[in-house]
Amino acid sequence: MDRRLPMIALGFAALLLGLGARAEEPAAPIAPPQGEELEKLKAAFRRPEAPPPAPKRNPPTPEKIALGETLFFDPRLSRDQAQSCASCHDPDRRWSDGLARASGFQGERLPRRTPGLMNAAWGLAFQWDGRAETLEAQARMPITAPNEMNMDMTLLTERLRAVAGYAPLFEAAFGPAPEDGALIDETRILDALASFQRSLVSERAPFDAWIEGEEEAIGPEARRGFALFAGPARCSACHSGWRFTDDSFHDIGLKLDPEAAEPDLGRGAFVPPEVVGLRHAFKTPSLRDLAPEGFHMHDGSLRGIAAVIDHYVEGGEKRESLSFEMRPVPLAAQERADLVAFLESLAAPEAPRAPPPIP
Amino acid sequence: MALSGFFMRVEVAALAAVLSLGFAASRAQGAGEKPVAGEICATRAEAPEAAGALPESSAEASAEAPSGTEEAEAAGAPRSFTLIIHHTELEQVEFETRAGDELIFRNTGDIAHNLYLTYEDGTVETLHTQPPGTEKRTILKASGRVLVRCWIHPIIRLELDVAAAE
Repeated sequence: MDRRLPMIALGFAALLLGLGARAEEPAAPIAPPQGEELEKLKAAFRRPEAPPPAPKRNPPTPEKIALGETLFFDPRLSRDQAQSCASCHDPDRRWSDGLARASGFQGERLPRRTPGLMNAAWGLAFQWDGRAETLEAQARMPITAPNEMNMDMTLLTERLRAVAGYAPLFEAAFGPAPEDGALIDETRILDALASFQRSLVSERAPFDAWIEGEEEAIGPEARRGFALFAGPARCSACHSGWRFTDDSFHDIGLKLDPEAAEPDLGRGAFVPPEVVGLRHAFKTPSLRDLAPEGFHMHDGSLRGIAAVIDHYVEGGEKRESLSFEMRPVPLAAQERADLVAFLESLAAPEAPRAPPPIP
Repeated sequence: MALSGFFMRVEVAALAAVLSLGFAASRAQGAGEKPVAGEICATRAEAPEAAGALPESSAEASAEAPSGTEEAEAAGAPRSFTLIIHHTELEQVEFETRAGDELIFRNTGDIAHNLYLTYEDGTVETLHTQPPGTEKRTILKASGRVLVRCWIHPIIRLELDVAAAE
């Protein structure tokens, strides 16, 4: 007998039961858990008290972070000197650009949205497809990508050495040039950029205040939304922890771009082809500091938080690679509104930031 | 009443998740993924879970391993080691393995995984999608450092020093 038959039968039974359960969903909004259960839940989303982690090889210092910030805002890092890192990662737009898809070298429209940078120090993999294992490795990628800043690291090093104002900044950050090396080199440029990125941490949001005991910091809608988020809606299966990401890769069933020459495989391009589940899989983004009416998802294909929730309600396109965590989530209108209120409570007030002087 | 409504919905969701395992497992096989050698799928793995009988630690599981008798141990016969994955935590246990031993990965969490092993010579063995409540089995094929990771969840990581077969 086919070993799979019992499993298939169980699957159909589950499907029918699932549909039945859905039909019996109570219409009234749920209330958040309370008491010990709530405290346990809150602990899973509490901000860490420790400073941002950093690799032992590249410990942060104020001077290194300041140098990294200067480099980050310097358009010399692009070949045509027209684009800095901050051109796309704009601090006034929560370190993104407000566009559905990023604008690359000389205005080329890129296939993916510019991700925000906050809390990257705690990240485990970088870029939408996770192809960078460290922030140091990541920092090099947009600088050298032909369709982004299109720069050559050797050329960049020479260019910065020719700027008199950079020498004291590098010396303050790294000390004098070693006997067998140069004051300004590729490693130091990337280390400084990575250190600056590690210093970017989300400000305290209303949700954080509520987690820490300020009961009125968020309203009843957001509290109900949190209960849904961490409960029946299962959003926290992937959007977990205080950063609301598992730093992992999932195909959530977004429509593939019909205009693309080839479908974007995301993480699937970096794993063996037999790993079907990673095709069209992208890194789970953090949910902190979202722009409520902004573009979302790796390809900017959905606009507004409400549209994102609608996507999860529907469950995404069914295909072989669709994440096992993706299944339709029936939500009433009030429940959707509660989720939106909760997600909005994760945004801290924007803090104006003036760009540093460029030498 | 409202609070009990919350837990009722959680229970409904949990029940649906548990019951959907059969569907998920059949989907994984139906998708044409080649089962790994010695893999047992949902039918065998879910039964003890449903009865609440899943061992809670690898130590217990190892003691119950089918080939773990003293005679087998003395003869250098292959042994089985069970490792628990709960959500994104792969149990960090210390045990001495050797080539030919069997590893059983038991997913007791509520999310799917896709584990793979990388041997010292660069050989990669993928264990394919592992829905919640299922087990994946593999035989350690060579001695040396073996790295266990998950394609989906980079946080999952376990390094093993595998001795040569006796």
